Amino acid sequence: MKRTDLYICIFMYLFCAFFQHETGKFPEGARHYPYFVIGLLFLLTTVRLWDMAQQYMKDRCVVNDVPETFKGFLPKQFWTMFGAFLGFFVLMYFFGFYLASLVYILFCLHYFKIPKKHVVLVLIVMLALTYFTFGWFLNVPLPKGEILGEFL
Amino acid sequence: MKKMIAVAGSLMLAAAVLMTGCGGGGGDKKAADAGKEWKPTKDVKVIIAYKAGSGTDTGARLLLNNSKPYVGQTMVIENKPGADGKIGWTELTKAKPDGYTIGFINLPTYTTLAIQPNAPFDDKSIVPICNHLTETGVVVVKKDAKWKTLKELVADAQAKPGELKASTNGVKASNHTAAQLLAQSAKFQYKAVPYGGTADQLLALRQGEVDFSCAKVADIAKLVNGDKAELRVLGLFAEKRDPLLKDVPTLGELGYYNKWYGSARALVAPKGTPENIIKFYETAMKKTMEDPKVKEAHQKAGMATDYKDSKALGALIAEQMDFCKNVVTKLYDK
Amino acid sequence: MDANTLGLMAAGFVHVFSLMNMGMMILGVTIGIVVGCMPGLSAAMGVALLLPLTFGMKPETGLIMLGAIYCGAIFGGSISAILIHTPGTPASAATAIDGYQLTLKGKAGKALGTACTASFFGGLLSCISLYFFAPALAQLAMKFGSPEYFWLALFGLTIIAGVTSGSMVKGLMSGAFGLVLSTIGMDPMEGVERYMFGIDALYNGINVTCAMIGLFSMSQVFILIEKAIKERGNVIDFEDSVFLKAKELAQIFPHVIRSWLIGNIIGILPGAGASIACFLGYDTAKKFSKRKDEFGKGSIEGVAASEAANNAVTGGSLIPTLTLGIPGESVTAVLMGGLIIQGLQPGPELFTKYADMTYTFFAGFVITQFFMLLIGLGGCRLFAHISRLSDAILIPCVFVLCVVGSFAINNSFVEVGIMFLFGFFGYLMRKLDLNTAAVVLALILGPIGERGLRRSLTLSSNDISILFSTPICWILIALCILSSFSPLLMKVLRKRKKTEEAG
Repeated sequence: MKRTDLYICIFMYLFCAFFQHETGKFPEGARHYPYFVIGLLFLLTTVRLWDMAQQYMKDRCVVNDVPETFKGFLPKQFWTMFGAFLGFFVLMYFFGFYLASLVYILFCLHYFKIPKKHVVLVLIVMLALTYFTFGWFLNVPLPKGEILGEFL
Repeated sequence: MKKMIAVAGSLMLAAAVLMTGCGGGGGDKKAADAGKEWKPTKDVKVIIAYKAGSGTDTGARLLLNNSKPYVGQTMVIENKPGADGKIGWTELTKAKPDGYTIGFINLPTYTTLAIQPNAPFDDKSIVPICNHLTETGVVVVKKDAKWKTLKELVADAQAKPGELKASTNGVKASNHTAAQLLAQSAKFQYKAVPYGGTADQLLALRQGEVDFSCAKVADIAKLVNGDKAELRVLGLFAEKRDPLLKDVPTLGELGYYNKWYGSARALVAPKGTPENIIKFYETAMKKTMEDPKVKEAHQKAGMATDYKDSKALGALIAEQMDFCKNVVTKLYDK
Repeated sequence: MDANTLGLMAAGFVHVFSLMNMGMMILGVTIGIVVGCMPGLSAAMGVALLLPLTFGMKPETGLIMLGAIYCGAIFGGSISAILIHTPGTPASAATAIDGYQLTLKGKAGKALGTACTASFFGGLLSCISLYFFAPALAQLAMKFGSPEYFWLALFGLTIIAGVTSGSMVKGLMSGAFGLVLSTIGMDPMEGVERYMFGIDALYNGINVTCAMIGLFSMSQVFILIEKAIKERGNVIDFEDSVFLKAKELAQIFPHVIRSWLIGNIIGILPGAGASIACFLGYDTAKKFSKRKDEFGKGSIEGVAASEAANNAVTGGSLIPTLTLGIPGESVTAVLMGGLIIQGLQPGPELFTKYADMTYTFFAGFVITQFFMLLIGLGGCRLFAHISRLSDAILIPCVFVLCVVGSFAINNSFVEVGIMFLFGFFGYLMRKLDLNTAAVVLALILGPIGERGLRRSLTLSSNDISILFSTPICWILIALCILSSFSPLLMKVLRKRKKTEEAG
């Protein structure tokens, strides 16, 4: 029996409970189908739990597989990048897509210490690719930004 | 950059645009000399609340692709689909009223949403520019159905209350409303089965899953003509007969619902857009719609243009608002 | 098939050879491939956005170009799926499973070559049915009612077992989880909001493309950032050869044929489409393959089966579109709009009054496949080198593409948020051995199944026997049973064979 599996089961039960609760607010006719699929998920989760319980009876131990699963995990790099993603969203919202991606890509490549020559190349390729396919050719508008959009 | 699109287009189209562009340009210059008049100096954004390739989108592109000579700038379509139009229209009504953002609305869908509690917009959030297309509602059955007239269908439905099935394009969607109008005015009960879209709704009728259906003229035009016709039109939601469907009686003639019911697609601007801007688009669109090339393109596509000026469109919107408030809400009361 | 029709078909091939037509084919295929490999830009969107360009062209030229974009985009989706685990369109979701594994082994060229070759054969073979069996096959679309769609969706869901490696129950749990998520949005029968929490963007449910970008691509970005950056430029056994050896061709051949049949039939059914076909093709190949254990670990058979199936959809879905005016999937719905704008009504007239135009278009569709093969193979050799880029470069690039792609779906930030959320979920799921492909599959099939089931029950006033009322229903039920129990069945068969050989 693995610890992560236990987490999954707990999450699924919570997920079921939440949707079950929400479904209660629907009118009668709209309830049956959601109840049916939620029930299905509940059932499968229980089957999984049953399997795990049997395994436990056999081995009498819970294997902590979290370290195994996240072997080689670099917290600093992961969360810096995660923060960069969120930063990108904020930048894009206020200053538009092109400026945001410029800043974001520069930051990332600098963080990973990519040679300058490659950085320029990547920037040109990425911005040109998005500009030509989205902006120019297909005319799909990309976010202009709340602040900069006013001036464009 | 957006002008490049035209260049990337076919040579023929580009040439045509250039040619008519020269012709139209002279007229615009004169108009500008008269002073006061407003003219766009950059691309105009046109919000379509449905996805690219949908009926509304195709119609709009047909019109706007040819409007450059009359507007003087490119009309750039921006699709903002979602929530049956609500998302796009919310954005349209909240846009800056500077004449650089206009959009298409569909009636009665717009007014249906507008009367809902907590609606993000109402009939006052927009200024009408002009109407583009109008489509009248019809009642259709399969060609080989046993009902030859609407009277027969109604009589049968009254004899077996709740047994006849009608496909609709969604719960409380336009064609559902049509079916309800018919059922209430003809006093029968039926079972409405939502199919989520006009194409699927008509497919269900063709497959024989349901007994009858209410739709719009343009949707069924290709299915009722010719020797391989699959459907038969039994009635028209109009005040007078359609010249293209001479043999089809109106519902009023038979003693049922006696007003026009159908859908309209119109150009509007956000609330607060100045009069001279509205005036500009009104004339530009009128000229576009009168262009023989545009007329022919619409005809080829089977779309009936129905130009209404700002005032007439305003009246239509007000009327639809009334209709949704007083008639439609009652239709769905049980 | 009379001599007259054959003559018209031949004439089509004569007419198609004009400079304009050829130019539009090359342009269309190239645009299609680019559009296809950008996540978020689906084939349908590509065709819809370029539709206005064709307004001024001759009908056949316009159609040829749109058809070329369609084919190119469906193939193009596989490029990013193979190279960066980012299916460009949902139609290539199944390709990502094995394609990306091949890339990790330094065999990106081979994977891309396989995808291109299989796409070519899938598309080309689908022309056969388009030419010769269109009217007969179109009737299938008319026979598929609500109960049939319920069973089709259920049949599709049985594939979950096939795409799962590892614990079966966990795979099924992932599927059920996806099914619950697929109920978010407007109730199709009652018109009430379900789990929307005031977010209007969820009205039509969670957008599948958006969820897919999150679950496949964004999760990939998370996986890349958690570990030390790998320099992949120096993979020793990197191979950029895109051509398949005769032995490999023979290996994928049976899968291509099966996938063609599957793709064609799925294409004909309105509302199904390439995203289901690729999974069905992949799963069937896995069931019949002699090298089952390679699947999920980088099998060219898996790539070929998925890609042949989704390109076979193209010809298939044109059949009901042209003969009945019922589009087989969203791309052909847009294509039909283009047809109508040209003043051509889909229906029998296309094969009588406008036969010239129609057969020129068909011929163009055939030739397009060859251009796709040429351009595809040529381009793939170059594209394959993307797989040698350092992860450090891939991370920001893939992330930016995920954001643009999800934004472009509806031009809204909400989709970007949903994509990101699914990305994080997908990352955890992949870490914990849950199956992201099963979630995508459930999101695609859930609504089809729900509508089929509930509409059937409304039609029959809750009489369940409607679900067993037609022969097609029974065929689909048989397929469901067969598909669910085939692993068991195969085991028994193999055992018997072994004992026979031994005896």
